[in-house]
Amino acid sequence: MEARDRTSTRTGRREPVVVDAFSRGLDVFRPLAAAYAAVLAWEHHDEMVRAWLAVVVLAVLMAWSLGLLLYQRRTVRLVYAELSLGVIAILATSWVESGASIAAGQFTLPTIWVAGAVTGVAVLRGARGGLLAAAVIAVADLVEVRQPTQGTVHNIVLLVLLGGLIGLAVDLARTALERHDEVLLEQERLRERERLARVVHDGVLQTLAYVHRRGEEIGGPTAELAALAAEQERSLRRLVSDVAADLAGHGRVDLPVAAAAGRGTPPDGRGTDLRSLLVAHEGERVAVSVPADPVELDPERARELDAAVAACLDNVVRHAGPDARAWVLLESRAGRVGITVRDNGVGADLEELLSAGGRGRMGVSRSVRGRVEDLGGSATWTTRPGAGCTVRLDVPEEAPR
Amino acid sequence: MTTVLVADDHPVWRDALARDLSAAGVEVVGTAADGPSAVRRARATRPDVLLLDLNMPDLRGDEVCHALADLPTRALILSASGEQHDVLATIKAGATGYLVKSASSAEIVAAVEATARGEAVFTPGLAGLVLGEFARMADAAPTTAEPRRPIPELTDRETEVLRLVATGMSSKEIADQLVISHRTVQNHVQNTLGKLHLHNRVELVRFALSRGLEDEAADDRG
Repeated sequence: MEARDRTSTRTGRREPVVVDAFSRGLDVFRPLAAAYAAVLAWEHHDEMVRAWLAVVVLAVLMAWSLGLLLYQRRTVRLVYAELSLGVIAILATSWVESGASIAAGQFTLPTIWVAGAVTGVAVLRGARGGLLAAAVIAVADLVEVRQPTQGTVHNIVLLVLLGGLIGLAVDLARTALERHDEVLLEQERLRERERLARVVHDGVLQTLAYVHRRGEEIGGPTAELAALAAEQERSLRRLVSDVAADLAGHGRVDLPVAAAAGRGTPPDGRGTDLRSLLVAHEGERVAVSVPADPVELDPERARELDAAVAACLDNVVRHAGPDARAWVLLESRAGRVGITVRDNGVGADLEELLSAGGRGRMGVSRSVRGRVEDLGGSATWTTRPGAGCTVRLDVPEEAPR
Repeated sequence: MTTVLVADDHPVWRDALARDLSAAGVEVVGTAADGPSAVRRARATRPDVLLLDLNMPDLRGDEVCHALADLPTRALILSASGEQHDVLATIKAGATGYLVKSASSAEIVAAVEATARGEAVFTPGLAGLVLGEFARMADAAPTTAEPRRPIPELTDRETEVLRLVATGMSSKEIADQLVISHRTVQNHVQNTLGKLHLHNRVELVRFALSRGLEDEAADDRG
């Protein structure tokens, strides 16, 4: 990953790792190929018409190959120069070798060295450049041999494959790098937007809280304004935390590269954050406490649990008395979700509460216990007359098998 | 008399807060409108309580608390948006209490007095965050590379007390329900914060040692 972020010393811009890797490989390949060409030439030097020309050409190739070990920049001009050098070396073969040995299938002077030149163009200019370079060398080969042998045709096919495939690999890597950059930029933008939103919301919330507080202190008709401000403050805070959770969540889904890069969360397997469902119940008489990190559940399970909590809160409204307040606590630990719903209302007799199904109070038995047990969990009630009521739900995060 | 420094970047809010506190007999030794000046003024005036807004320019709440870790001053967070990660980070950095800004001025004054006495000021929301943080640390424990890493655990009683705080019970109600003294309830609550602070400090030192930073860190503090 780190190498990706470095500017290439060879092309002077950000490049995928493969570009530098190919270039390093080529640096090693060139002198070796030149040496190989020299060995092959030496083996049949007594058959040559102009051996001195072979010496000159191979010396130039070797000098060029060693020179590129020192000079690291790879410009378009440089790789085309290298390609031209290859063409000249191939064409020079016609003067070095006798017509008879060429017709008999003698190798060209530079032999495999030209493959390096084709690869060099492909690395810099992609598939199109690679194919073009291979075509140029093919034409030079055909001009040199006049009567193409089977070997000539095979070599040309291999060169075209080499230029095309290496060029394609480089093209794909560059596109991936661009995508990666775009994704990073997009993430940065999201983060900045979130930060800005937080600053704005914080200011508005402050003001609303202030109006609420001062309004209540002044009293009289102003108290009405205070109540309005308090209501707006609550709904804005809920909205803000919802949007934040949403941004964080979607950030993962909409950025496929980031998701594929490692979180290991398949985009479609993402659960629903139970926190955002429960926080929606917050209001004048209900407070909700949640952990700082998401509690993600299968969407269906999250909805059922939320419905059970809603039923508990509904019970508070209907049976706990007009002044009752309720608190919801969400905990998640070791693969289990715990939810506590407590109210400070009039309470009830436990026996009566649990047997109330027969007397029209269906809430407890069906809406809460039924739902929670279907999820493989349990619900327990603690209450006595005059002391409020506490419901504790305990449910596994994953559906039991 | 309790001394307090009010740090908040909203002038209207800051002045109203300072006025309310003065009227209730708390000595406001100064105000600050951004993070760095909050740190400077707290060092200069050494108040009993720093009333700290979470979202101030230039330094985050947890950074302010870190910078003041060696002072006896106790930090009480006051936040409008209640951004959960920020609250938790600041509590871990050493703040001993948290209130939302919609609290009435009587509640704020009471919270400042309680903080000055050394009590932890918990809202139900903060108790939920702290419970969540201990659960997270416990769940993360087996997968961390270092098996000897000490993970702070809450005792069953501490968990029970925190759950009651998180579901809206006052210290007095908790004391009645569990048949213990108000002081014992406070001790349990303070212990949970103590464990968080300690763990955070151990993490900091470990981080500093691993980077060879301990000397610089000491210089910063000095």
